[in-house]
Amino acid sequence: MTKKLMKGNEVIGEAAINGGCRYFFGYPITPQNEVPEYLSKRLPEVGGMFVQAESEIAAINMVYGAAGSGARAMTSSSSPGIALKQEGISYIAGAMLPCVIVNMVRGGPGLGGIQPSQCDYFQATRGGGNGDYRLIVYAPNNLQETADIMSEAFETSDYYRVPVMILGDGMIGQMMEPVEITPPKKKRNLPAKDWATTGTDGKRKPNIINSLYLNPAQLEEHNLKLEKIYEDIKANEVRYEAYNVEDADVVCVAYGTTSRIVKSAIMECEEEGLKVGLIRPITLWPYPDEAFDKIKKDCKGLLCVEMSLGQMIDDVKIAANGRWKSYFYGRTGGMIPEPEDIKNEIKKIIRGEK
Amino acid sequence: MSNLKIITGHSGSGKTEFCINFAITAKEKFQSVILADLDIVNPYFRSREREDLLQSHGIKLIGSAAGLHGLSVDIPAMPPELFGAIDNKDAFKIFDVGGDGIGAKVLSRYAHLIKRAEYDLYLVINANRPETSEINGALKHLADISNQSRLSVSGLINNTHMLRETAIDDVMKGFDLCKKLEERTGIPLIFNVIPKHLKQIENKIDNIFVLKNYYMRPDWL
Repeated sequence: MTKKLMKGNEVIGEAAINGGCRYFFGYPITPQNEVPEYLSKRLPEVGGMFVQAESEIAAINMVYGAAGSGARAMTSSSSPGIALKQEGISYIAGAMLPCVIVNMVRGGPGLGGIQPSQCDYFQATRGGGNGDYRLIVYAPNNLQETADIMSEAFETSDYYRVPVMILGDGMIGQMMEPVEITPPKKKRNLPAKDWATTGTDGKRKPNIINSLYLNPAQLEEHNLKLEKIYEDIKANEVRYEAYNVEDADVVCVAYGTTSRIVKSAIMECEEEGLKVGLIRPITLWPYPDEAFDKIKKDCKGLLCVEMSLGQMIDDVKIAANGRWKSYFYGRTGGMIPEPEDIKNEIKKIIRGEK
Repeated sequence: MSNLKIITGHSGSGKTEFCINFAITAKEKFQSVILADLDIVNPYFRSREREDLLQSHGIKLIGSAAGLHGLSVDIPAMPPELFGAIDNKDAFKIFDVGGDGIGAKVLSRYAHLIKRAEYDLYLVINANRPETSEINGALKHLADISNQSRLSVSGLINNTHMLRETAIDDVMKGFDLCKKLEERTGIPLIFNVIPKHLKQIENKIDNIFVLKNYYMRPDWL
């Protein structure tokens, strides 16, 4: 396939099919409506199935069922819709089922607004649902990266038996860019899904998909088993982009759409002779702590920029571990930061005014 | 020549960017220019988000959230001023319609009035969009949009681009597709839309419309 001009939400749809997804369950909400629209048309063409559920809660439980039978299934929504899905996500994590959940984040809390935001960072990385569980959370910042990550997401989820979340925002979902959708680059050696509820044919014991462990000793054992998987993921799946980090007097930290605005501000700073770096986490969990180790000792500070009032800043502080001061700048409610304002914040840190 | 230009096309074909550029260009020639945002499908990347820009050029914006300065109120409703605009013989009017047949459906409510006035309905084609990359897809969109709007398409606009990566080959690919479409349907190719950096294409094809700017796309995107 050559490059096509596509909208972010369409890229999610086509890349999901490319990654082997054949089942979509969802409920409409702006700004991700083109995902279900696209898949409702495309999935039947590839032998798959699209269901518009009666609610977000129904949709995630349909994913739970489809994933439990071993199928590659997904759902997508935006912030308040993802909030509704949290119980199902926790069940899926507890039952160790692979699936992909897409969140095109909009302003909150509550119904909020329909413009882009990053105010669901806590929800995505701290677990909106109950219990000791983790999602692998990817935050692409352009549509080619969205295509590549989405294409590989099902493979990754199958490998670890951990749900994957793609955390975009309204801008990623709605913007257009040239994209080429190619077969997933990273092929994994996947174990057979011998846990799936595919029918016993009277030849084996039934498989049971469940997240209920009333015996605390057994539940602790289950938690420790999950924890071991999470440690594996931390060791192997961290992804980030680092730009001029070693030499920088200020290192910005930003993900998704915001990282592009920050990059634009950094370019302007460079024209003025300032040394500014960027750490762009691509996985929000596991967080790329190691990227911070390359920052020089006398760096004047870290500037975390988000479309929220400060959520990822907590992870920046954990990664900084007291080595540098961490500052924050953000716009929220669907407002998008301007490169000029970010530049001013960078300069304040350099001048010691923050 | 009609002074009502209705711009339709596939979602993401670049209608709104063209409409804003078209309105600003038209204002150089016409005393009074009206841009109406008729998109009730998608609340993102809408001409109403550029109300301040249009105002600074002396262009009047009509839309469900006009006067709210870019506020993204998701109201699938059309304001009453639209009736007046259709009958306004003194103004040059551009209607920026929502994507696909579903977006063009909003026109059917005004079709009896539009037919009474003189109008042009243009179909924007971007041959780099998967669904309109070949003749059958383009024909399907043309039929959908005519059927849903209850109006007839009178011109084609070749807006084949790859955003900032647009090359001459992209424009020519769209040009060839539109010429095929013109042959099949008799609907003429009206404009070839090009970015500023491709001005040299002028000696290859006629009916060039040069974009002044990417008004809908922030510099960092």
